Amino acid sequence: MTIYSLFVLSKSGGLIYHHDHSVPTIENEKTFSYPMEVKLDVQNRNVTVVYGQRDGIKVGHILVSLNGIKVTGTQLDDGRDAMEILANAENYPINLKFARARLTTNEKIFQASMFYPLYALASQLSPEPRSSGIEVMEADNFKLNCFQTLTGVKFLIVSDTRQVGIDILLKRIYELYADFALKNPFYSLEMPVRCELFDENLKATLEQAEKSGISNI
Amino acid sequence: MFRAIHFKIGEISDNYRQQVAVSSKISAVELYIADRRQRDDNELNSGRTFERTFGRIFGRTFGRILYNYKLYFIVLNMTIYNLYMFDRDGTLLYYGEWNRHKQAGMSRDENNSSCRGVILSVYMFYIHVSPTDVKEGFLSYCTNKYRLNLYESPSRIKFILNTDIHAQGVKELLHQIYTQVYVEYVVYNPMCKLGTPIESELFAAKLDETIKQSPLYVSRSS
Repeated sequence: MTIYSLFVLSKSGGLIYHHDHSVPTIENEKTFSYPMEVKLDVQNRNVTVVYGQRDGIKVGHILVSLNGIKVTGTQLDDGRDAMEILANAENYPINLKFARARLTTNEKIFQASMFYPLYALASQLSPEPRSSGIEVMEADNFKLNCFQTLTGVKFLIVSDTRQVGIDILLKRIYELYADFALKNPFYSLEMPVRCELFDENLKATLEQAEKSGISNI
Repeated sequence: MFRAIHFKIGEISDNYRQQVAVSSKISAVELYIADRRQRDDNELNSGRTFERTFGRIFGRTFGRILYNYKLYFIVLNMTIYNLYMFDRDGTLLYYGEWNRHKQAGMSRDENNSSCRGVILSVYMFYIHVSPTDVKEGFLSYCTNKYRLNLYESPSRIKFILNTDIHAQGVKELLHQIYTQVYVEYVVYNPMCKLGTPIESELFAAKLDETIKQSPLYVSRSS
């Protein structure tokens, strides 16, 4: 019963606010000997698993640590290149830690902008007249709720499938946005929201929603 | 789309029989038991819902319901609007419609391409936004008027079914359509070329029959 993240899209479709409340970290550490059963390749400037899914390490996971040294992209913290070390048989047995790739801010902006036309197309594809856009999107591991205000601002919440009452929570977040972002004289419309009070109150609301249930906020 | 009938305890059994006689289109009944002291009688989210229990509840349990509770019968008419079938390359294999009330503002071909595009994009969006690893994939999305359900077979044939928002058990229905209708009448048919639009009338008839027999389908003309 967790809320994973929140996105706020402006009227023109750009991402103006995003907040990761509790993103689950999935990490798997394993010691490998040469030759490795897992095939790795550089994709998106990260060392990614492309083949050889096993033991919780799935395709798409990226390398985060090698022998305890943190890896950023393809480079270790001490400057060495990860792919070169992996190609050299002398370095084995080697301890590798893989994790599911987190969305970077750019990717979040990209995905949020992707959602905006999908919302509009859903209402066009509708077999019934006067349909709204996507309100709830369900999958087996998460649920996405979207609330569009009368001014075209969209609030998206990614949460657990069993979470109830998200539409009430979305309306409450809209109230917070109106109070702390729109009434802020230094905030201009369609720009990214950088208001401290909005952040604080949002975090407090989400925590209270998780602790005591949404009907109490 | 649905009616709420308010009964007092004691009147329930007679009214229920009347209701069943009047409406032969009941496909699902959600039973709400609400506290009589609630101010707004029409509030449906009382938090306690029992689906399809009127068969069990009728008779014995009525006597056990506390005096303080009112009983609501909400009769939902669930409908199926249309079905698209796309194969792994994106070719439209079949399009069937049953209760479509609004013709899209675009031509039929554009509509099909939009549908295909939406499904592909939603799928990619889903993979990126998903906080944990992908297991089964995207299942459905819901707007305020319809729900789009997706079922992807192991051979990447996509079945897209638009139903109304209260539909349940659509995944089983789509799986049934795949195994009992598509595989039987198209894949096993030596005359049907896979990867091209399905022209078999037998398939169309069987699909129609399966859809109409499912509890999800109720004709809108009532």
